[in-house]
Amino acid sequence: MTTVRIQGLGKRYGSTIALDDLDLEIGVGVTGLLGPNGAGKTTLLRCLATALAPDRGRVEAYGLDPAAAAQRTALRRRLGYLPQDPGLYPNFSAAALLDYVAVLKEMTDARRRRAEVRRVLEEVGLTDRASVKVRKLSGGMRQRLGLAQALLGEPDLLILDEPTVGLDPEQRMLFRALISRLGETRTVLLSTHQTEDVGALCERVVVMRQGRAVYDGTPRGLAEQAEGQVWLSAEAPDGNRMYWRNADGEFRTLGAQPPNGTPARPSIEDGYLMLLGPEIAAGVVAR
Amino acid sequence: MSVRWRQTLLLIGPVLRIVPWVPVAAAVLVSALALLPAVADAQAPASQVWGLRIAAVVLGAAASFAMVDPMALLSVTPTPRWLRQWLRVTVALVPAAAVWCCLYAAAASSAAPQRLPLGDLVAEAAVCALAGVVGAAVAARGGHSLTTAVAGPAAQGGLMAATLFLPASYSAWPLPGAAQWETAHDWWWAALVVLVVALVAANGEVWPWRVRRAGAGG
Amino acid sequence: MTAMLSEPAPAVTPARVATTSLALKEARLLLGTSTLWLGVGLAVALCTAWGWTTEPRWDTFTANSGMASLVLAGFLVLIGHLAASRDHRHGATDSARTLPASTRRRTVALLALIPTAAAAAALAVGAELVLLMPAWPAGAFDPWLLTAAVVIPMVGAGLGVAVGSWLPSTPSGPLTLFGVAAVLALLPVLGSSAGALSWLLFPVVIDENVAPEIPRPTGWHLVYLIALLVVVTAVAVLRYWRLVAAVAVVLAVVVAVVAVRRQQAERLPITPDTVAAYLDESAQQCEVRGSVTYCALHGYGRWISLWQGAVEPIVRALPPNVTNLPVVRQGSGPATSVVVDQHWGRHGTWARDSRLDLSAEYIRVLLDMPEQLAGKPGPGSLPERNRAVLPKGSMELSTGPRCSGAGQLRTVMALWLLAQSDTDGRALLGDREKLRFGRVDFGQAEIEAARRLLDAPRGRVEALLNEKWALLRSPAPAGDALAAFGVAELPVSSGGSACQ
Repeated sequence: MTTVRIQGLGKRYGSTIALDDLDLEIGVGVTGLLGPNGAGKTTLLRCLATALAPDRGRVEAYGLDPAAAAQRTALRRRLGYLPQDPGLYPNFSAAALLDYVAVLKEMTDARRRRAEVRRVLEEVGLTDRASVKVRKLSGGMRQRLGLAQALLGEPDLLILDEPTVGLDPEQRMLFRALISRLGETRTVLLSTHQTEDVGALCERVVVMRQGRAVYDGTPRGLAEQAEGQVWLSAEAPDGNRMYWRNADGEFRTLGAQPPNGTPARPSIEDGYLMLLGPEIAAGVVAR
Repeated sequence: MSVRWRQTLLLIGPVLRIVPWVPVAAAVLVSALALLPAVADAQAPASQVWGLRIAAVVLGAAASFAMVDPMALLSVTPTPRWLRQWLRVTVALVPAAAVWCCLYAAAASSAAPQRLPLGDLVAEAAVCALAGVVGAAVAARGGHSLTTAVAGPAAQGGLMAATLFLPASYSAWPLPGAAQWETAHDWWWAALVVLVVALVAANGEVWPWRVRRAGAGG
Repeated sequence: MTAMLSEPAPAVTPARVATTSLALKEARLLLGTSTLWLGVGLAVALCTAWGWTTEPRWDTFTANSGMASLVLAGFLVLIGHLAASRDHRHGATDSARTLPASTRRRTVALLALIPTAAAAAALAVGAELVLLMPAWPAGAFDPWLLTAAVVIPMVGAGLGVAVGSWLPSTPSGPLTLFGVAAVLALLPVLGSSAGALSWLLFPVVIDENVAPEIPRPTGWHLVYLIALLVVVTAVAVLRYWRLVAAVAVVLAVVVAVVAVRRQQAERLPITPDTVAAYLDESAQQCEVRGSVTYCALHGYGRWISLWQGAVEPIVRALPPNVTNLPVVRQGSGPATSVVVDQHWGRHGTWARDSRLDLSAEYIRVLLDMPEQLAGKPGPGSLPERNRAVLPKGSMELSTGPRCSGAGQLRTVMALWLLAQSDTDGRALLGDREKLRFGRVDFGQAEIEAARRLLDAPRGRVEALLNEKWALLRSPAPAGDALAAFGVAELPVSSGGSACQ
């Protein structure tokens, strides 16, 4: 079921085109956004989160159009947003900060608010840090606190901008479990640079470049973009090729078969790199 | 009680913690020092008037720092932006106004009332202080960075620099009893109205009136 | 056997070279800051605006330039603060600590903002002088006051760096600026005269020079400013060289105190007796142009052509046998002189008003009409329109009772002569505000009579002047002297109110 429709979305910052006539439909489940820096991922998420007005185009989420003030407010009641840099108040305790955000989310009943704050702290594993001031939390804990404020009010639409930054592997695992569970009944849209997160979490992935979607499909489909183009070899290939050394000491090459190269099963990362094409390859080889 | 009223009451406490009070405390100190000569020498109305003007500018500069909100994500909650911004304005300006009134009372206690016309001096003080708050509020529509923080004092500096271009006979800073006092304060009251309107507009939603639809020649 | 291979250590840049390189970088950053040039532009605009309506003099120019430099100094306080607190913003504190350039080196490098501020300020002063052209300041040139307009922004830059080093939080810069502005704004208000301590503490010398050659301790004022500069610079580096910086602060404060005391001691009290020698005829340089003698104070020689422009149209209309024309004198002299002061309007109506004022005064003296002062000025008294600041405030003048010149021939001729000095004499006669001759009152009848004379051929009026010259310098009624010009007998004032 489509819950979010994006039609002809455009946004420009001066001479820089951030979103270029983007069309997208998103439904319940977890959708990942991949793309290089400057592709427009954060701009898209901010437009969806109603934090930024697009220059043109139309967004509709759960039947609500944020261009109309009343519907924008109604949409904000149903969404949770974690920006790249939440800018949390350093002198507030974790619980006090969540309480503040809960009031902003119109939870004016004290009992309900306290229960909700306890619930989200438990979801992100910060119950024992409830009274600790934000400035004393580690980077990973602040990221989890940011996620917690997005979860307040059980939003239908969750928009997460690089939510796994700063999380250690154990925290990332907990995060994946949480998002997977939420994705069963909610629309979750997250942007990430971690292709492993996409593979682990997302039923659908959209790859963006220069404000447009260049791929929209399953993670397996993205990996298959590199089918027959991934090779392993014991020695470094010669010539202009994109390759790197993996943890097993083997050289993984993308593109034409190197001498003594054996085919390898492509990963999502391989497919992403093949999709973004020669410009990335040229950049890697030049270095 | 409506949701908005309940929210307003619940938000006062957190906003009091969020607003930076160190600049306000520094401003109170500077303002008191500025009035010290006036209190010491009540026969010099010039020092009283200038002390009150300086106090208004400094208190307004300190209050403008309250418009900086590093938690930009708050813009996506259902609470309207105008409510959050006006709460900040009120929490910052009410103490500033109270301090200024106390300073006026101290200066006026030893001076003849006609030397310190309250209404006109209030207009001046309100404009000087609001210029900072409006500057910061306008800048806050574009982000919450260092620029936002200094936009308030910059706006005050710009306003005062503009008045420096006026010739002496049209000075914006006459002393009570000067020939141009009445005319100058007509302009001060007009400026106050303009600033209040600007503050109302600046504290509103950051959303354009109209967004072009897909396919509409965009 | 194990061979240890060690790579040669990378070459270490000498500290002085590294610091110099960093200092040059800071200077370039400042020069590339648009805010600096906004401040320079604003300072130049303010100085130009303040001096727009009057012919420039060195004392007023340096006062305007100095006040404008305070505005530039304010910008530099903010810029210096932002530069010095840069390492404490956006989480840069930790990463800055790991750099080989220590905070000491970075602070020392920031002091490069001070000479860079000097360069910007010098450029501003230069631009302000250029914008005066084709005019040029008159009076005595004081290099110390001109230098003060460069030193003041340096103090602002140093103060910004000092505050940014000790208080890097964002509000500190603007609040420091406003606090300093508050103190400066109050200083002139607290003092009642130019010699008061609060005026001497004010960075700019704003009192006008009573006479060009009066000695003023402006050199000590510059020493005071330089001492302030040393104080703020020492405070900026106090954290790293405590003893040296503390000693420098103490010494600089002592020097500042000495400089202010020397200013108080060497400042000439402005009284009629003390300034007489600087305003009397011995201080004036005279030259004859046409048939009029102009005497100007030192440095005001180029203003003679301005005065000549006001006087010559009148003199050209006089009969050739008129001699002993009044001397135009800047300063004190015999009562037969026409006194001008050290103010003259520039551009548009301001210049016109100054010309008309002098023309009217010249006519008044020429025709022996009653003057503004009730009595004659005593020896060494100041010219009436010198707006000098005396102890206890401005000089009070006795204006004397007004008298009526109604019906007198000299009143009508005075109006006609005044109309000769303006490009549109008829329009001038319609502006009562501009028609002033000392304490003389007159009515519309006299103005209409002067209009009739304007309508007549000039030669006929000049012939009348020639014929009736002796009568013109007396309060005699016009009678039928103007009948030939269609002017009926003018009603005269009766009783003791008529001008003598």
